[in-house]
Amino acid sequence: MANDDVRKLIEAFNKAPLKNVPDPSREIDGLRRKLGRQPKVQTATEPVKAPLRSPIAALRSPIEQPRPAQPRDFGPPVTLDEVVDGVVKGAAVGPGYLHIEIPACEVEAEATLVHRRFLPITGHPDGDAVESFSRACRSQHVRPEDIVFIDLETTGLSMTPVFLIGTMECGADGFVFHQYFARDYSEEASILAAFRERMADIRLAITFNGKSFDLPYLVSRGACTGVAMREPEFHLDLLHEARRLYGRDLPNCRLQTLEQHICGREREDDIPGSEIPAAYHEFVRTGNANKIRSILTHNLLDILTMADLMCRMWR
Amino acid sequence: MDFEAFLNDIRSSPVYRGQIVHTHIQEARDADLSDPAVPLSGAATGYLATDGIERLYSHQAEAIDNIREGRDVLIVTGTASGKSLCYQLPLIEMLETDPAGRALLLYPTKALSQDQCQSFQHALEVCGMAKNVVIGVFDGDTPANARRSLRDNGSLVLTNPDMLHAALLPQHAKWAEFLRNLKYVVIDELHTYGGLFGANVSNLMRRVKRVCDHHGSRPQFILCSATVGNPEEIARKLIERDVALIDHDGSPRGKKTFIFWNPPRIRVRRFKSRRSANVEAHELMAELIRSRIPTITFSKAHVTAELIYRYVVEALERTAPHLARKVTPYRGGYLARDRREIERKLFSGELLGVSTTRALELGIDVGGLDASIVVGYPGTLAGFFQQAGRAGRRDRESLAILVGIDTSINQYVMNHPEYIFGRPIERLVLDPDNPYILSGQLRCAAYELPIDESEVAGFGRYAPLVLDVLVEQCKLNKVGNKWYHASDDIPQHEVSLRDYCDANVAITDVDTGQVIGELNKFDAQPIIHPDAIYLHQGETYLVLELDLERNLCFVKRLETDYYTQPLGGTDVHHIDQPLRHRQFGASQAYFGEVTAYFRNDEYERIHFYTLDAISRHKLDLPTWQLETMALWITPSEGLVREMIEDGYDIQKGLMGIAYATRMILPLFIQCETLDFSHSSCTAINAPWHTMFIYERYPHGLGFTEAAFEMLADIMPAVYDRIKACDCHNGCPCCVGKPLRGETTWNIERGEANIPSKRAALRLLRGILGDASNLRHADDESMGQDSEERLLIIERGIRRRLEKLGDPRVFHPIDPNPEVGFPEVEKPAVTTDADVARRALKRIRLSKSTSESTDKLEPLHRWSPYGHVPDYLKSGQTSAEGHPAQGVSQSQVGPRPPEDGVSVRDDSRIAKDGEGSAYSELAHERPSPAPRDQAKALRNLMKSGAPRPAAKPPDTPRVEESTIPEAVVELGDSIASRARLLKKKK
Repeated sequence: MANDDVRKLIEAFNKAPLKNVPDPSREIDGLRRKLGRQPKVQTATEPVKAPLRSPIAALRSPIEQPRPAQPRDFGPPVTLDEVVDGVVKGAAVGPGYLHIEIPACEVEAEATLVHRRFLPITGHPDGDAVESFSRACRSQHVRPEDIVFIDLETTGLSMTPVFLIGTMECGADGFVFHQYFARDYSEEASILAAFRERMADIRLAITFNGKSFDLPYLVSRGACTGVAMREPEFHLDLLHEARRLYGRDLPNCRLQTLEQHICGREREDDIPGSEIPAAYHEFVRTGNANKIRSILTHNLLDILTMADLMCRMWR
Repeated sequence: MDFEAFLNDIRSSPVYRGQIVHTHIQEARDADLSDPAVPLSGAATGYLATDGIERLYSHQAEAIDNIREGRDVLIVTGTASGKSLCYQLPLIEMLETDPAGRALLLYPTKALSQDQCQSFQHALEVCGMAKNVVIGVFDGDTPANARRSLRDNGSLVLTNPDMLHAALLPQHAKWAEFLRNLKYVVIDELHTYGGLFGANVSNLMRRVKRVCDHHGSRPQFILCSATVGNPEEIARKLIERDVALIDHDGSPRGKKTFIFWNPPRIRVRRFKSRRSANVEAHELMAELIRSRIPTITFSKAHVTAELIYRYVVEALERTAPHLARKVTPYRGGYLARDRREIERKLFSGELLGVSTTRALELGIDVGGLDASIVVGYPGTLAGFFQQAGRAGRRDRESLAILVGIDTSINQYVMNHPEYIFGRPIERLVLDPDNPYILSGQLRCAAYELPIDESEVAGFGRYAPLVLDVLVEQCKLNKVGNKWYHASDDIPQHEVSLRDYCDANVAITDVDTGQVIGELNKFDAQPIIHPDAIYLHQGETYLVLELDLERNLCFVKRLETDYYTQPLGGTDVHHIDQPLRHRQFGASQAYFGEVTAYFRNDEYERIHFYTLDAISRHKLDLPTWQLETMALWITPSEGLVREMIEDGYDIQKGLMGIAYATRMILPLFIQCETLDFSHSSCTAINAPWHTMFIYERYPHGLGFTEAAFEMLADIMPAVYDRIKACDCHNGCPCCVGKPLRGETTWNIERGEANIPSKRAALRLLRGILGDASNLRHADDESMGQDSEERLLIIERGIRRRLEKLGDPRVFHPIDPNPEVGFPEVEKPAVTTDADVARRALKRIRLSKSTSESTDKLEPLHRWSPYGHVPDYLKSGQTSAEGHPAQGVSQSQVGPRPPEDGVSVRDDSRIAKDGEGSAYSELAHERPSPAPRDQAKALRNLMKSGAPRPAAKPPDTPRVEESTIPEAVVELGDSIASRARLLKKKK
């Protein structure tokens, strides 16, 4: 009723034409007219469509190839400050970035549980599983405060800028997430510099597939942006442990598969990893942060799963 | 070796009918020896001593001096003059003095880099450095672990431009150490970098330079080239730096006799009138081997190489059976080991003859040979001298025979030996600023490193335009003063250095699902239209479907006894824009943009063995439209009228000239005849007596413009060719031939409305006159930067990019759009519990964060449009100017708190399929930042100001106290958790 009216209005609002958006083709037509030429009606260099009739229908195979991607839907426009509670911070390099800090238990109630399980297996004074874990990370004394979980989100497949560095640290009352988010490509240097600063007193990095992806990626991006990155003193890649422990029983060892089978959790409304780069490019282009929330959440859940997984491995 | 006796034997033989049309003797030359200004280092001297070299040739010493002085160097000397030593020695010195130094060596082919790598390895072993220095070939065949070791430790990396483009540069951060220490970039075989490939490589070099710059190095370039008309120009365009040219060849050579051998005419056939060059070649080869002269024969294809080998063996078995085993065929695909074996046998005299293709042209050291037979002019001067130079040592006399085949170019060369032995006129065309090539290359460059505004000028005059279009097409995005790569593809994988068309059609076998071939999109339609027979490894496939939208073609294996041939043609429909115009003899010559049509109306089924046309079928393919660059010539009206009065057919004459010109163009510009098409008298907005020569690539590659500039050289040659042709009335070597009936002609082969040789000659004579009136400056020309030209180009780029993928239409959102409720309508008041709770949460959150963030940069400052809403600028809280705020407020209408609000209640919300509270939030319309809203709200409450006028005055105001504190708190934490609420245990 009244509620519906609001919905309708919001819908109308979403569909309303946007002003101040120059239509490039119109401008060019204008320029053409100035030059005394007809506005160009779009004609393709090649025929638009080849006839797809098959003369010998019986021979036609049922092979279906994927059609080229349709214009993607990025959802109705939302600005970033509506979806993210972050703080803009300056950095040693570059224009600054958005820093997001959330206690893990606010995101996921289970985080408290994970934290409780996590403490004993680290070098906590009360810990009783110290030894096996220390062996795994080849380190003598790893205190909880020395540990950071890392997961990156990048804008493409290889060597493209990283726009989000998600970390989880072990605070006194539980896990705390820190996300370093670049609001456009130029802020990449800032998040790298800020992250580097943060990493200075971290001894152990825990990642999933970080040995071949996350850490070399950071170093590479450092080389591209001029922020010299250093790998942490110790590094534990959970992927290798996971392969050893579960590789035979699971279809694959992707994090989401492990999350599902080992941690027994399912995600709803999760943004698939393959859609993240396009969503971010769209965000930089238009400012539509609709998918950014999902990306940030996706990143946090990945990190939390890493911790959960780790606890289960060394229980 | 007494070649004179051999030649006299031939001349006196009864079957000889005067086939030797030209003899050229290149006299022996002594070595010009010299020493570098500063003696070579120990290792380099040791290497030379082991190879028995005491002193360097003068060009080698000069090159080394220049390289040591830090100059970029271009070395242009003949075949086998020791060019590679010019860079090998400085590189060895570098490795000796500076072990961290790195060098990148580019060769156009894989085989060449393999050969050079072995040569380097040998040199390093001699110097005793093989253990400490990692060198290797980095190409598609290199296994992953070898790639890593090259990347991390390789001192010398030998690769090809394609690999540099697709594998090294995109990963430049991983190669950072290598690039930081890069001292030299060597580009060998510079003469192969013409046309499309050259333009791409030139841009590749721009990318290499900027990436090196980023990593803090400035490598020195060393270029080597074989004979070509304009090596320095090409070098300058390729690396965009000044080069020190070294073209004084100091190497010695023996006396060499060049024979031009034209096969005799066969009188029984009307066309194709000469005897097969392969037959002639095998007779010559057999004769040479019988005289125990070691011989190498180059022919065009695998098949002909094998054929000549077989014929030679058969001929020898009849007359000299003991020599038959001393001949071997060689073609591409042999392993390096086999090659070395052949080389060894040739040296030792176990072999006397090799029949090969171009495969052996480069990178084989066949020192023992005395004669080479080149079957058909290879198309380029460099190619010819390379093949002819395979025979002969410094101190020995040698023989090179060019056997002419029945094409325009060959017959022209046969008649004009000065083309080969005079000053080289063959030009390499290279246009690094071609905007269509830039559109791909700039994407790659931005992928590697963002493009700064200061760098744009380095990419040529069209770069700003191309960047604009790329931004519009969502390929790049400009942030601040830099362009960033902004799509999730890898452009290096889409952009090919050697192919104009970025997208190939994948030919898929429906039975197996395997892709059995790929075809350029431009060529796809005439070849793989539905019902066509596609030949793959000798098997016939029926084409079922051609989908040019998805670039897919489906074929099915079907045994047929016929193949198909498309029938149709191409002609210029209209002139879009003349760009340059000048007088040319008794005619006007133009260069500009035209639109041509390609039609494929029918196809023929042709029986495999009899070559009979079995049947003809209609084809329902759309006519292709091609916007391209063309060169056109309109003879003067006076000349035309005169000729008509004399009874000549102007159209047939023009057709003949156009065909002959197209056939002969590759002699002047490094290109192929099939890069062009020709037509005459078809354009609707040109005088009827106009002939066109146009490029077959959209928007051309600069070939026709180069031809326009060289017209005064080209047209007299065309006249000579037609005049010298001893056919009766037209043949494929001059003006083209009439072959089939009226409709089934193939204009590409010159089969058209029968071209008239007489008319062509008369017309050309009229146009050229006494050749004194040919060289003029442009009468009119459109500036490179004129607005209209930019428009033409812009349109072209946009078209080309359209093919790359679906350009996404996007509408940037305005952070504060000027859209509001209609004034007359009463804003609805929501009673929805969730909306109210979320709104409250926002207020609470912003309260707690406002203190900490107040001093910081406001969030909206980075908004992509720099648009700051007025109410934020002024700090005012009036709701007047931004109705959106009103919306939010009205949503926060009071509602009776529900009694049962509890955790359970909220978990219901999340489970209800409504998604998390956050995803719902995300679907609301943008409203001002919570912080500002809170401020506004606070101020509103403090001042007790009335609601904005647009709102009904009786709308209840929001008061925090209307909702119990506990609920607020609950809502607060719940909302934050509900975002991600999952099934609880």
